[in-house]
Formats: sequence, C-alpha cells, structure tokens
Amino acid sequence: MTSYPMIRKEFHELMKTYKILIVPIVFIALMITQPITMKMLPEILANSTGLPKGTVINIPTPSAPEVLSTAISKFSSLGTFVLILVAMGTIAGEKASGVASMVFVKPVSRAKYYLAKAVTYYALTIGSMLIGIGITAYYTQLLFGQLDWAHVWLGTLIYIPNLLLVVTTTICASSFFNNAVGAGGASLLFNIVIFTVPQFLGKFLDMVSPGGLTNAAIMMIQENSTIAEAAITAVPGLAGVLTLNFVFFFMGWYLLERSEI
Amino acid sequence: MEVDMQLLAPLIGIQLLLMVIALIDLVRRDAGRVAGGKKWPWALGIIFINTLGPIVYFFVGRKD
Repeated sequence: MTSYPMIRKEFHELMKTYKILIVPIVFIALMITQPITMKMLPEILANSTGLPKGTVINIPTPSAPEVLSTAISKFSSLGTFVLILVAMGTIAGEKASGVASMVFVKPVSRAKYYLAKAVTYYALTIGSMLIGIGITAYYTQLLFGQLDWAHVWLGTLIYIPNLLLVVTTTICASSFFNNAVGAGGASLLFNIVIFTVPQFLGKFLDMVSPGGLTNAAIMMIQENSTIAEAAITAVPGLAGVLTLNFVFFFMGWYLLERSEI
Repeated sequence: MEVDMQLLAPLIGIQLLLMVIALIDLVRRDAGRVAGGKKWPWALGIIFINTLGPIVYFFVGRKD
C-alpha cells in the first residue's frame, strides 16, 4: 500500500494533538453521566427546593436497556458537536497554515491525501464510540442489572454510520472552505438540518434519514424485539445514511481536486 | 445528603485524567504558542472549570 505513509502521518497528527485521547474520554464522559444521573435522580429530587412538605415522589427504577438507550439519544447532539470540533480543521486548517501546499509539492496525489484523512477520522470515531459504549454499558449493568450484549453491540453498529456521516460532511466542508471555523459552522448547520428536519417530511423520508437510523439503534438496544426484527427496521435507515455518506465523500474529494492550494 | 462515592468515581477519574493531560501539555508549551500569550489564565481554567476547561483548552487554547 503506497498510501500507508500518509495514514501514518495522520495518526501521528492525532497523537500530537492528543485527539486520540480526548475523543474517547469525551465520548465516555458524555454517555456515562446518564446512568449516574438516573441512579441518583431520587436523591437529587429529594434535595431540590420548592417542593411542599410531605411530597411523595415515586419514580419506577428504569431497566438497564432503557437507561442505555437514553444515554445514546442524549449523546447524539453533543457527540455530533464534538466530532465537528475535532474534524473541522483537518483540511481547512492545513490549507490555511500552508501545510497542505507543502504536502502537495511531494508526489502525493490529492486522492491519497483525502483518503488518508477520511480513514483516520473514521477509525478514530469508530474506536471511540466502541470504547465509550462498552464502558457505559458495563457501568449500566453494574447499576441497573443485566444487559444483553449482542443487542448492545449490534445497536452500536447500527448507530455508527450516523457518526460517520457527521465526519464525512465535516471533511467535505473542510475541503471546500479555507478556514476551520467556516467549515465547522457549515457542517454544524447541515447536520442540524439533516438530523431534525426529515421527521416532519413524511414517513418514508423519516425512515431513510439519520434520525430513523437512531431510532432503529435505540429499538435494538431496548431489547423489546428480537435481533432479526430490529435489524429489518434498520435497513432503510442504513441504506439512506450510507448513500449520503458516499455522496458527501465523493463531493468532498471532487471539491479538493478542484480547489486551488 | 449521602453521596455514593463509588458511583461518582468514574466521573471524577475522567475529570482528573483530562486535567492532568491538559496541564502536562500546558507546562511543556511556550507561552507564545498558547492563545492569548499567557499561560496562567489557562491553568486556572483547566483546574477550576470541570471537564469543559480542559476540553476548551485542547480545542481553542493551543496554537500550532
């Protein structure tokens, strides 16, 4: 593989900026707060002010799969934001600082450069998500009882293309804009629209949108249905999100080939 | 109110880990390569602002 040195350069970059440590830690921190607050909710409410004396609050203890699925749905907005922050400068920052033009002086094609970036950030995202969900699920199991790990891992795998879509669109915006903040802003705007709007546009669009994929992942984790049933509900979402991934991947590539550096 | 320390241990651990990494990075860096040109405000932010302090330092505070 001749693109190996480029991938190694990108990984070196991740190490140097500590992204390889920060992203998993932030993912864990975002998700693990959910089981902890759920567990401490009665105490928090008991200590809150403004309740009349003698109030009885009866909260049924949620089951472990319910807690884990709320952790994922809470994670999606902030996790998107963190991923955009991490990936927004990857090409735009190098264009602004002149590193990109130094790279392209050498016999490195733009395709290789782009592919190496995408592969590294995909690997970082997938690895961080698996670590985060693994630790959160283990912790949930300690606090709330038994989880079915096959459902958990499959639900995570169903959810991961959403995160990859965030990374793809951010890299695409990054190869179009010349400064990191512009790229991040554009990507954030696009992701807010694509994650929230389709649910108002009818059943079919909702099914193939990232939001539909999140719902399928949550359904898988909640263990209400068998693995096969939950997997079937995820098919349209997977198809839609992966298509979007391809479109934006090649669009970013095209934009990078066309841009003047 | 009795707080179950065992319950909060992982959160505290994550917070300390982020703080230590950020502080090590800050100490080994020249003042010129930190946003704002001074190191001490960042040190205060990293130590006293929970979780968000180190993260903001990593994303905004460093100039490479």
